[in-house]
Amino acid sequence: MILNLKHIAKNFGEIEVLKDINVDLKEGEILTILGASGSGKSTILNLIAGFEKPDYGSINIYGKDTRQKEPHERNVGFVFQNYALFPHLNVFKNISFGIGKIDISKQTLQVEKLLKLTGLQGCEKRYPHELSGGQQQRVALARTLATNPKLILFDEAFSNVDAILKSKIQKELISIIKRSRVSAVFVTHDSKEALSISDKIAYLKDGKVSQFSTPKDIYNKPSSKSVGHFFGKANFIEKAGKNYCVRPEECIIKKSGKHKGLITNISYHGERQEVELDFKYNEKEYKFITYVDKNFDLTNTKSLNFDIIWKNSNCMDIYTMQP
Amino acid sequence: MVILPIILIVFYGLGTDGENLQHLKDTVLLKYIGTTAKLLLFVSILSLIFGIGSAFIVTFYEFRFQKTYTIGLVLPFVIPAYILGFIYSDIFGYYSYLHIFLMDLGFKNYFDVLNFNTVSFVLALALYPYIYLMVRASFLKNANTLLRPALSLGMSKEKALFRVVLPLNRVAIVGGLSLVLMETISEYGVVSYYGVDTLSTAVFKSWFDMGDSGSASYISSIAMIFILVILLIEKFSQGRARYTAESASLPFEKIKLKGIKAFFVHTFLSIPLLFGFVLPFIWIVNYTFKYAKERIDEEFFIVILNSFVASAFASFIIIILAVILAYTYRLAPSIYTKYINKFASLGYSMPGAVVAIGIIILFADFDHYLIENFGFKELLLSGTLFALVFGYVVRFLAVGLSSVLSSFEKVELNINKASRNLGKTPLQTLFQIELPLLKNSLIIAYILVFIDTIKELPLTLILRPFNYETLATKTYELAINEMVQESAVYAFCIILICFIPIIFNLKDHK
Repeated sequence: MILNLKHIAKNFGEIEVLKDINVDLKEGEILTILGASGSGKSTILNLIAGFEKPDYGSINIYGKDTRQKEPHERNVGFVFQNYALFPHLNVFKNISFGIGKIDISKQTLQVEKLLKLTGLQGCEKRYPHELSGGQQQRVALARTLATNPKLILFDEAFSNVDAILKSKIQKELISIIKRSRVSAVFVTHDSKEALSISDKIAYLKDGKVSQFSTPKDIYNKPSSKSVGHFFGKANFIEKAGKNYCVRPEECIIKKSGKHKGLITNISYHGERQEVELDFKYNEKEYKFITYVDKNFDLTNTKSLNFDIIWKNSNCMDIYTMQP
Repeated sequence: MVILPIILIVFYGLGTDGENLQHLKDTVLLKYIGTTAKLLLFVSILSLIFGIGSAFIVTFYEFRFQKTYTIGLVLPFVIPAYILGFIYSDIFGYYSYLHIFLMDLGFKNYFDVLNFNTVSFVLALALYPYIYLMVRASFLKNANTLLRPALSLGMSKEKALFRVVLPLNRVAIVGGLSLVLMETISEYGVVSYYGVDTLSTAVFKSWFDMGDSGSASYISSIAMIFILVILLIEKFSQGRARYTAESASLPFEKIKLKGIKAFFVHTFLSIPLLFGFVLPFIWIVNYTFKYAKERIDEEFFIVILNSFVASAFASFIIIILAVILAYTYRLAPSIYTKYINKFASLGYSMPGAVVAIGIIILFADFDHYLIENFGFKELLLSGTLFALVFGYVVRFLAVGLSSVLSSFEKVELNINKASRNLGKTPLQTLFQIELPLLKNSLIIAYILVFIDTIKELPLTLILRPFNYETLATKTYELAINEMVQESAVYAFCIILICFIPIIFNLKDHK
């Protein structure tokens, strides 16, 4: 196990920021800690890196207890939200900063290898302010990789990246991480980002991990309504004593559909139309959201027939809301 | 160590019950307290008029030379109050050209300028820039944010300025005023020269004339009560108000002034500028040239060297201490580190004479302890350069600390974290990352502290080694020995040094 957080609690003054956090990460895995702002996710990174100390619980990194270890003794990489490059050092010196103790020829070799890995050849003499946002991020990653950590922490890694470039940079970054065979912990508030890059997701709410599972499980089988809504549009419906999470794409519009809903709202989203329906099922009234093809003409349409794809894997206990 | 002298003052002050003190209490102490309170009131009123009035006009109105006034109104800062006082006694005194000229015209009544009102006016001229700078910065920040809602509610621009913007900058006004008041309590040069007896002169009298450290401490404690009240009022005003805008305002559309209104504005602004800077500066330059040959001798260079040695050494220690305190706070911000910094800054709010008496008591106790217990034959610390440097450190650590703290704030904390995360210890991070990034800010902080120590008069007068003259003490001594015009040569050096931060600021503006 690369990382193991057991019963972590942290208070700032009288505010309980984290309560009983339990998370682990295996070698080569990518974990994303997801939550709204103020949920305590960055605090978890600061605790792992050693910038903060937990009030309770233990953090094991590479199988060793870190309670007595200062940040500079942990060998955990950290890529900051705004990259935190040293503005007075050029790219070469930024990358070699953490390996100043080894001899200069080995340093140069190591930096050249990392420049190649991150596609930054030719930039070694430039200063941080002369680089684009994407290049700065790659320098920050190369600087972290230089010290050979087996675990790297990323704080809101893509929040400063242009929306158009985001997916490209995400793919590049994940590819570098996988090629370097390191484990990573990402912190983000973007559920789509979490679903696309992670092996595991820990969803944080009010200082607690509400759900810790794979992206597929967390999307299809949310542990609560709030988790379900956080990862996209979700409808919840009771059937045979179970509570089902039905995503809008699981409501299929069909003329011969078993259910009939009255349209209450239509919104156009470019690639599709989003329709809100009122309908009755087993004597109970529900509000459902479903998607309709962008070219489907809904003018003068008052109601729609549809079928629900019931997946047993999507159902939760009606009372506890647990899968 | 830094707050020990202040604690000792209170301790000694409370424990004193000698004959001298009883005599002081029976005769003049109440008068000293009354005069100090009256001086504080007069200086407050005048400096508020100059400070708020000028800040308000240059921020919200447009007229000819408005930009020149904006910069020019800061310039009185470069002339310390005591030098300003000496100059006005020379310009308007009994033997001044002006007086002789008036007598030649048949004007027979002697008009005495060496009085309380002139002291109030001189102190207001020297100190109003504190209010001007703070209030102007606050106006610039808040003007539009506060003004737009008022205008949208149908208020006229001028009415909105007076009724909304002005009252809501209360925090800056009180902040500037409290600095003015603290400097006024601390002032020794002008008040003693003009024969106005305040608590500051009383501390000197009881120490130099009566050699009574107990009485000096007692009076110092009373001065500290004044300071405490000022600090509490400032704290109270800050605690209740959180009106500042979150971000900088958009440029404000100024009200154009012409005709009679512009004339009044020029008249108003030219009073502090003319009397606070232009006139005294011309006087100093004039007499510097007149007496340069006579006064620039070996002694002149020794005085400069003395000033530089004491100030450079003290500023160096202050910056090192400030970096240690600020970096500790940066790495471990907590209520404890915050209060350590507050206590370390306490000396700045105390009058120079009070700090000096505290240090004399501390070092005398220490020296006697060494003599009695370790067989030392003479005083080790009292009356040495070390005592003077220590005095500067206690008094001006706050100046260095606040500059260094704000410099650290400009470097984001993640840069420090990134370095430690890459395997560097906090100390390595300080030397390899933080200090190289802060180099320029630290130089500026050093210069600011250096200037304050160069200007400091009362503390230097009490703590300097025997016959050790600095620019401030020499200027003062020449002035009190009827050689005010000759003192211009030394005053000119002080003013030249005080110009440095103004030049830095102008560069920043560009």
